[in-house]
Amino acid sequence: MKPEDVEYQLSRLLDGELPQDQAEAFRQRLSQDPALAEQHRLYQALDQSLSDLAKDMPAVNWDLQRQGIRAVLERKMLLRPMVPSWRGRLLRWSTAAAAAAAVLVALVLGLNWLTSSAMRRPTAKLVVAWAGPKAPWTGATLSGGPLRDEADNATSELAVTYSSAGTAADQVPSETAQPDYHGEIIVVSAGPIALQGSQTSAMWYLDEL
Amino acid sequence: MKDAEGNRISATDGELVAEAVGGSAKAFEVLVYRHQRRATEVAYRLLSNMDDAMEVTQEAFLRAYRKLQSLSVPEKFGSWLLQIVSNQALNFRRGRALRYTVNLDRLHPTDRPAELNIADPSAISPGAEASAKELKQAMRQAIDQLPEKQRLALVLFSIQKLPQKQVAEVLNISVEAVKWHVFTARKKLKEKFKDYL
Repeated sequence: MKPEDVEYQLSRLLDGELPQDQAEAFRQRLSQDPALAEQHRLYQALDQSLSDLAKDMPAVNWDLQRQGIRAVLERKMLLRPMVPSWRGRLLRWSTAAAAAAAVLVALVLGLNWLTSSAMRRPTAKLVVAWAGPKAPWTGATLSGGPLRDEADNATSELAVTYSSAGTAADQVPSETAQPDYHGEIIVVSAGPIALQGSQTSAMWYLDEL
Repeated sequence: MKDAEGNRISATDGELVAEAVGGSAKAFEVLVYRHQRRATEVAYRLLSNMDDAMEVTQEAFLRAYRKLQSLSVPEKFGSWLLQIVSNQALNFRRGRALRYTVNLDRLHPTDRPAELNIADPSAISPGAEASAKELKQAMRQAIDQLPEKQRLALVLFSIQKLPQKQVAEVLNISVEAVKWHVFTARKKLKEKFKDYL
């Protein structure tokens, strides 16, 4: 048997793949051949080192990871029915019919309501992607609104603030947005970024509700 | 059976895939819940960086959702996802290597980080605790330098402890080929680290 074949047998013995009779014969050989026994020990030690590597893993917040995946799917408008063939067509037709009926009803019943400027304010959902196992505002109170200048006038910048227990509210970077922003804030996580210093770059975007 | 959040924990992957294709976002969320750990771990083993692993895992789930209808054997969702994760991770590595090479070329030789040479086991310093840590680091880098198939087979089988059959599905090769790749990878590592094991 070639040396490489012997080593392959060692590898199979290590993985418990040798038939019982062959495994017994090989173990017998190991007990009589110190050089082969040393090879066996090396492979065992290597396997132990590889198993130890599996234990080295940074902590991950699995809930936040799921929220992040969900947010990306929603943002890319992928979370919608993927119904193929006639069911999909039927669904599309019935959805279109329902939408047309709803528009008609809205036109008839709520013309004044729809034309009211107060009700036409843009509404959006702010999604903040924070790369890190734990966003600094996790568990904190978040709020959003127009950034105000020194004279307390609303500007076209959107400001988001958060405050955690016992600390003053900090302001995260602002983004140009509708001045009369009204919406919901959803925080998702994606990896570590420091809030302060040159790496301040939380990613965010606005989604229409 | 459902858990506290109403997730169908007893549904098979195949059933969940069918429901997700039919438009159930909840079903896909259960699939994410069920497979996110392994997917992230594999990505991390292949990239050695958790931020990159998280990004690749997220992208892999996105791709999986987009291609869910093309999955011919829905029960094999787990293996199929790991296949996507592995491919994404390898592509990511290639991109990263390219960026790194470009950046490295701009560095003066003396500016290059010392850890680049750590895959050489002779760089391991004496002292039991330090050696163990350095050995792990050197081992990771040596695994990084293995040919792709060997690296994937070793990571999935010897580190992640996946059955050979599933490794074969992920790599789209035979079980015998998996055994051979694992053996070849082990042999190389054993030769490299024989004085330190």
